[in-house]
Amino acid sequence: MGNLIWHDWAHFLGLTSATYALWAGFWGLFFRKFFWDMIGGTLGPQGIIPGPNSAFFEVIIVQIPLVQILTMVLSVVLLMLELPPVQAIKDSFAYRNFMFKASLYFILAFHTILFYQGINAAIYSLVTIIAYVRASVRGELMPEQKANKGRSRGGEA
Amino acid sequence: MSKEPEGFQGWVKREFLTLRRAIFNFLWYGTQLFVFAYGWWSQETNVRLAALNGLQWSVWTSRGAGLVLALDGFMILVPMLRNIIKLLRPRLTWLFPADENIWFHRQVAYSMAFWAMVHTTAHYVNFINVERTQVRIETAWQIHYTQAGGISGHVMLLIMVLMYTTAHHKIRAQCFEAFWYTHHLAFFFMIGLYAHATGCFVRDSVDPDYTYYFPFYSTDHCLGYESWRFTIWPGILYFGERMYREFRARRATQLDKVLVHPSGAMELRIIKKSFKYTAGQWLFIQVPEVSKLQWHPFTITSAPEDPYVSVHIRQVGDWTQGLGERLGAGPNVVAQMTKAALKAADKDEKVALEYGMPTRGEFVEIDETMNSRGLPVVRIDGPFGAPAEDVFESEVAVLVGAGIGVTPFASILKHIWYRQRRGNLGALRRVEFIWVCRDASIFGWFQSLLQEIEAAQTDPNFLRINIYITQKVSQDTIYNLAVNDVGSAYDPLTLLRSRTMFGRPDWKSVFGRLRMAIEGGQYLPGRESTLKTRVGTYYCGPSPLAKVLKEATLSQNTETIRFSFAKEHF
Repeated sequence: MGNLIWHDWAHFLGLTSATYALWAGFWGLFFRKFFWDMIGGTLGPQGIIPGPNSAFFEVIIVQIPLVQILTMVLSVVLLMLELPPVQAIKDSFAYRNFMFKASLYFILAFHTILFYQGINAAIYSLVTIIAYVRASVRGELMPEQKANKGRSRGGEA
Repeated sequence: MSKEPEGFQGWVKREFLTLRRAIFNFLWYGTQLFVFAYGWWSQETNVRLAALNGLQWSVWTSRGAGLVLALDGFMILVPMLRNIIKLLRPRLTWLFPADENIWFHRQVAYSMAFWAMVHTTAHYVNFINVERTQVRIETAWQIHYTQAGGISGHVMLLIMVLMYTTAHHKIRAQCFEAFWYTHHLAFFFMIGLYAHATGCFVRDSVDPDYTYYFPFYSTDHCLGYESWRFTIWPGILYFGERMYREFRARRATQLDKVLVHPSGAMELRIIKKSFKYTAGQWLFIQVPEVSKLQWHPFTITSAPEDPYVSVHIRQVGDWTQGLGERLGAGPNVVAQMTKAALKAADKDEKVALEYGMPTRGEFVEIDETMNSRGLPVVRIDGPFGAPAEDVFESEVAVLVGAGIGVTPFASILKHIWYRQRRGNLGALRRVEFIWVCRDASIFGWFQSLLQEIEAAQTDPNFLRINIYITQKVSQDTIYNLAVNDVGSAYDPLTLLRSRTMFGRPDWKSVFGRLRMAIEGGQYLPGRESTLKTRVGTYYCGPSPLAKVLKEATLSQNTETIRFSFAKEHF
């Protein structure tokens, strides 16, 4: 499609997904809920009573908000990769490698799909992954990387 | 260019210390806060919704933000009603700058994103609390994914993610198509907006009070704001506009001629009897053979007096290159032509400089016989944008074009020239045309147009052309220019009689000198017959320069000379 630079679009999608995930994780700390607890669960007077299969997730989402905390940490990492606050990140391979970023968004989607507030973040992350994979398949390069071409620095970048 | 303070200080100066902007911000954001407060209050104090009010602050917040979103959903389409705006503009210029419609569209979109965040966050709290308190016998995921409000809300959010990310100017510039197609998801977004409350979530009954007739719920128990009754009108108007545009675009249109200029620009001359426009406006063009669905905006470069409508298209993007290929003037052909033309021009430039009007090669005309497939069908829609008729209301018109912003002036200058020939110039006595660009050669077609207009001048004082090249010029070029410039009748760079200047213009002194010249009486002999001399500045180009220009012009106001400034859009 046209001259669309896919990683530029993926960048904006990534910013949206990571910001949404950060916000969702934050609210997930206060309103803790395993999203899929209706599977095997029954409706009681105080909401869904989770079935035995959900027990593990009840521990890591409701008893300790581990998934939410990991989501927030990962979103901050991703935001720093999308908008590097320091040069060191810009120089790292993680900033340049689309497949690496796509896999981080996959981990983000994996976490956010588990808890109540995170479902949309998971969907947006999937769109981001598609865009980054597409950028990688088309062999797109970050502008910094293009500028590096032909410079011999011991095989770096 | 300008010494605008950056960062926070710049932001404060721009948003609050500029009177117009401050009033806008106060009204726009003030209205939103007021609507939010009203929505909150009307929910909190509604005794019939006591059961829902058990959810407390989250439901008050979601209802308040929901009402603001209704306002935003109404306003988002209003600036896009191009035909209605065009009709209203002449009457409303004093109230708001009607040309800033895309800017306003963006402000609404930013607000919408913010309130959508507030509204959605509040609802995620609402629904989990509905499940926990069982105020209604249902679970959170059911409200989110099986009821009208939840489904339409989530779909609208996803559409917003796609629309906002592809509307970023970076994406829009590299792939207009991605922006264009994605933005048509707005259709489904608006459907979602109108259907958002049909699930009857806000009610005083245990179950939703559905009916079998439109709108399929009863207002006896469904106590929403019924905002769709208002928000649907801009939607209907916009849909009507698109239908009207489709009808208008289908009226008889014929691509008459295609001229390929040596600079690489294609000039499309189109004949459409039903198309009426004024100088300085723009149109949408569609070539079904290149793309069935896409409409692309271009500035009209012909004058209303011309027997055709013309646009100049440079092959820079996908669509424009596709059009070039279809016309038999693809990028390769153009590159060859440009080369050949430059060579030929080099050879006879010396001769031409002495014996008449020099050119940079002739344009090549492509007509039906050259191409086995004939010329393609084209459709045009428009015109849109500000007409530049007010040029004729001032004695002195200063036309400033920067970079690509020079294109509307092609039409305006031609139009002035036609009216000059008919002796129908209104108040207009003199025209100063100032063109600031990095490198004039990419607008070769515009140069040749200027040449024609300059050559046709009978009064040497009527039109003055000033060209400023801001690009850094190499030492060699400077020598070359110096050698060629001396004693020749035409400027070696632009081939105009007027000399090219290098560097950025000092606007303060440009307008200062203009004022002094007028006061001295040399510039406009006999100007005392009118009490006030009006000097209108019309600018088209990037906005940072607009600010500098505006300050420079307005600072020259005196008792008898009134300077005004207007920014054109394209």
